[in-house]
Amino acid sequence: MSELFTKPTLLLVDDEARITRSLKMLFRTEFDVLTTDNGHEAIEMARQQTISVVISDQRMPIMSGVEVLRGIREVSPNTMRLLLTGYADLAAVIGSVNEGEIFRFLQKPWDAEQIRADVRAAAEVAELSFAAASRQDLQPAISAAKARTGILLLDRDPLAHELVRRATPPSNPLFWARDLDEAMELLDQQDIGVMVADVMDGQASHVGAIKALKQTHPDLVTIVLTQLRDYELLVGLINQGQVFRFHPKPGHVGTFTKNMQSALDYHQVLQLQPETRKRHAVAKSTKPLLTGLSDRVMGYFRRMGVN
Amino acid sequence: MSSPLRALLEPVLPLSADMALSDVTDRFQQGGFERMLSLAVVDETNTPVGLISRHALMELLLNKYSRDLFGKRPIRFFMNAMPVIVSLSDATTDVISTVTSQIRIPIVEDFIFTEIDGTYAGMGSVADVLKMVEQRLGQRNQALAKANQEIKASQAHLIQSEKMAALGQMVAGVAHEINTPLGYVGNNVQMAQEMLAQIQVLLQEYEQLFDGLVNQTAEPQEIESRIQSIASIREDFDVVSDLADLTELFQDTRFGLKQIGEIVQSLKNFARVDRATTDRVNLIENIETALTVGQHHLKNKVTIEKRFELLPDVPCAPSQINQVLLNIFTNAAHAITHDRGRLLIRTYVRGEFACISIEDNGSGIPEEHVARIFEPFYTTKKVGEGTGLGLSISYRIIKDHGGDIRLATKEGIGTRFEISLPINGPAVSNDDNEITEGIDSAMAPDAQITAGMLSPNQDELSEDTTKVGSVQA
Repeated sequence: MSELFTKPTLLLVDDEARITRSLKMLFRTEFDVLTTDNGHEAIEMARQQTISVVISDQRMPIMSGVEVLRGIREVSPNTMRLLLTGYADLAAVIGSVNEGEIFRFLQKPWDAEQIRADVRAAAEVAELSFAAASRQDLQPAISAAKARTGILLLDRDPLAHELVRRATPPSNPLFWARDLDEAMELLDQQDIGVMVADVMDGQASHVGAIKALKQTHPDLVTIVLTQLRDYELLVGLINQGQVFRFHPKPGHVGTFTKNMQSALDYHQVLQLQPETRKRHAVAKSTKPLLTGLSDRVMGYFRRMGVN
Repeated sequence: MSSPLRALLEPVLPLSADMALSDVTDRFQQGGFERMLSLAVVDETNTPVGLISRHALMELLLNKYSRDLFGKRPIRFFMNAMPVIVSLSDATTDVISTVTSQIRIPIVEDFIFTEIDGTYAGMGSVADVLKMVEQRLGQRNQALAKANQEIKASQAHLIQSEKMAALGQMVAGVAHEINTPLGYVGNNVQMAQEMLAQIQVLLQEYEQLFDGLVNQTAEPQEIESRIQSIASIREDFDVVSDLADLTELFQDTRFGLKQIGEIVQSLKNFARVDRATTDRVNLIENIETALTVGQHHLKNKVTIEKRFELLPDVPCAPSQINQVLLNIFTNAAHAITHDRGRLLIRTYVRGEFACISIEDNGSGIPEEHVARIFEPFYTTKKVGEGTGLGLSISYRIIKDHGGDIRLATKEGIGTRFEISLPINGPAVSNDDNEITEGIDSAMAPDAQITAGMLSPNQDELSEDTTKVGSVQA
């Protein structure tokens, strides 16, 4: 194919050469593909050139995938980061979100069509982010709006409320929704930028709603506060819910305050640079997201075009 | 009648201390208390002050004229003034111990029961107390036997759940091990399929061009358009280099399938379900199998160095030996917390024994743990991370094979395990290796770990740096 435009760069990090060889062949027509088996080298590459998308393995001898992605996030925050792993490693899932702020958590063995779609989507976002970054200063001034951004807690647990209350800056209003109906009402009426939610509320699951909300409110930043340690569930929340942070319950106020700050900052970035919202574009779920929700909540999502 | 002591109580009437000897003799002759060897003597407040037995009375009356001489004298002059007295409010065990320790032998008397206030309640027979003791011992034996059974059952249960936990971990690890080759194999096949479709389209164009040229049926512009179409396909698809890539993809794919096959095979070998439980086995194969199965613990963490001397086939239960090896490999992997991990595995023959030595450069075992390392349930891992059964089971397995398992360890340097198995199978009678039942005997006193046994190498863990542990019961 003639090189009329420059292909975006894709970096593959894996200690198994057969994996990088295979993926390189899958992507070479659409991307300039770089490969390495060394995390330090990967970070160095991201520092020196524009890398749109990086896919890293998790278990590698020198550096873990989470460490590689965290390093790349530091030197090149606009590079879209994907983790590809064959191990159901809960710490890796949590680390990839909290430290790597990843776009997708992919699992081996993968489906070629699916990974193509994910990497294409990531490249599109990266292009917008890099373009936006070259246009304006990356550090938006602390606006007055940030200080007033509302925080919504969706969890009956009074201990969670206490934690969130203590982590909420005094100027930011905190709204407490005991159930999804109340949450929907508050989201409609108030200017809410950060949602803190447990994935389970007694027998009711908020998983579907958390995922659906990312579609209807792309600049809503979600912190999941939970004691649940379910690998598949968390992976789903990354890929379909673009959850910003996983925080264990009961939470530590210090770390939670940091997470809250990051979430408020990130919400502002999303508002000032609308193109960055796409960083949170979610994967289509194969199963219907909304089951077992109240008619009102269902109606709400239906009107917003989510099924 | 709440206290079991009440069952021993014989409420026979006591004698008054002032009762004349001849009247007492009459009472004994009248009878009515045949089970009793004696009667109690009480004072005017009904408090026991002594006891007179048939035996004492008869001895008295054996003397000629004694009835005539002493008949009018009160019984208090003839009674045993120091009888065994117990209270009904005493604990049964106390009563038993008082009676059995204080009663005089031969047994010619009974003992006296008093009420809580110290007044006379009745008599008790020593024979009844002994019967009660026997009954209680029987009950206690039963309870002990039951407790023992329960302990055995729960130990067996624990061993089983340890096995299941280890198996679960192993299966999860191995399943993940397969995911990597499965990843590229699937991707390669999917790409090959896509490429094949491209090749098909290209080939069709070539065919039609060829047919048109050979049959001379095609118009020049048709040929021209075919050539253009072929040229445009070739822009996307370079037959020479893409087919070369495809060849490479297939090479990788076959490698991946072979790897998956090996993993599956090693799982099968590990369990050895398809082979006799005891067999003549090449131990080096066992090592390889256990290494493959334990790969996910060792991969990326440990360099494995093998120095294998040929070993004769050894009669053993291969799946059990695999279990022992995997346990030691896993422990070694857990002990290595730095990134220069090294595992040296050696095989050699020493006399009548085939030996496997496994040496890691992990954290080593602190001195205070060394002596207890083969004890069941002894673990330094956190709750939920280990049951502490792994090494004790390994020890049992090797001992049951007539072999031995020893270790040398030094904190900060590493640990070396040596397994030795008799080449000709376990000796028929070997006092040292007496096979005992149950895991409670896993800490046999013969598990001496000696420096001499573990010195023949020139590695870091040499004799002078090695803290040699000694395992004692």
